[in-house]
Amino acid sequence: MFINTVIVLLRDMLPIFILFSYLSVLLTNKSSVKAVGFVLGVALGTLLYLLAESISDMFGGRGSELVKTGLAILGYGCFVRFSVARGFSSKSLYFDLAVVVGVLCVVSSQFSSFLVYLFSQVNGSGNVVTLSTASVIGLGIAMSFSYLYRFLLQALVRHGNTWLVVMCWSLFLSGLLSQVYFHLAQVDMVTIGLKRLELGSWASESSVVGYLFKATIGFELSPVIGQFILYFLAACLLVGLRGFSPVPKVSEGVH
Amino acid sequence: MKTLNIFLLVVIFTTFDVKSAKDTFYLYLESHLFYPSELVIPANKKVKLIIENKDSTPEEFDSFDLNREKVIYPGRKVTIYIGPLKPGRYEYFGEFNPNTALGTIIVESDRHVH
Repeated sequence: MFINTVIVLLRDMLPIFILFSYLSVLLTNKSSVKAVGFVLGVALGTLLYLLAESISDMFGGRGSELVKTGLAILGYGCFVRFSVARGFSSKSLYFDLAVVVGVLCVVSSQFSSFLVYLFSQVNGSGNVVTLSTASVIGLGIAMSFSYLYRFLLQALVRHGNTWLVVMCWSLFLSGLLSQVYFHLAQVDMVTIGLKRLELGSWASESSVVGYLFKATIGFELSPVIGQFILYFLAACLLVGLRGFSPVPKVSEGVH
Repeated sequence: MKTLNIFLLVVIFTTFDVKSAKDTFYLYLESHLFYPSELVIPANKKVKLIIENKDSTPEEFDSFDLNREKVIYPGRKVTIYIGPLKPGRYEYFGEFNPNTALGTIIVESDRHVH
């Protein structure tokens, strides 16, 4: 249970930490906006957990997947809106709203998944000490990794490789959208392109390397064809929408 | 944003399919164990799998081989569709109790329904 809790925590919570690593580099002057998104995300995630059984029964048993699909699409749309703003910055209310809703969508979806696991273990084993210890260690690993990743992103910006940060961010968002394909496949709403591609024969998707790839750039080592195509198209879309606009000056405020 | 909306609609609706499966198979979970632990299904055919959770805690049916992941709440049944699959063994497990909740879907050319 100890190791499994750490693994599930990393699976569910690491994407949230990675998201904030990106935002801390790309969006340096909107701390309150990010905080509002996070708090609302935690609140919505808790609500989704409390209503999880009812949601799961909706739409002929497809409720959970459809809600997660909706959150992924909405989150992707909001972050694309944020990303296409010149220099990742705007004083527009819509810009702030896009950031808040984007953060809310990612946090709520991931957080509710972890709550389902956490409380199933609390109610099942009742071993709160082990669960708490594992959670603290898992959170420590996630925080440490996200800080390291943030330093890496900041170093890239300092050395004039902002385009690489933007590219990784675009791939991260593509990974968010490609989850739509995965969720819909679970409930048989997409039935084509389900053959697996073994792109990472050197590492398993369920390995640490696999989790890190998925968390940082949304890339799965063994995606199904449809998911891979959606991932690729989503990345192209974002690059297309950004066009050849000047590289944003995101280094300001990075310390 | 209009481009984004059109793109999303095209992706979703071109992949939307509602074919129904003809064969139905059953699994249930009790005391964090899947029963039957080995289930034989026909090859090259899409089948409907109904899984019931008789435990008092949720479990997540998870399979890398089958590309399936679905939470089953206590006392509930869920339906997933698998296949068409080539003959072979496809492992699955309960994500919340991976040491005990284990099972295998055996896909055979000759049909043996358990």
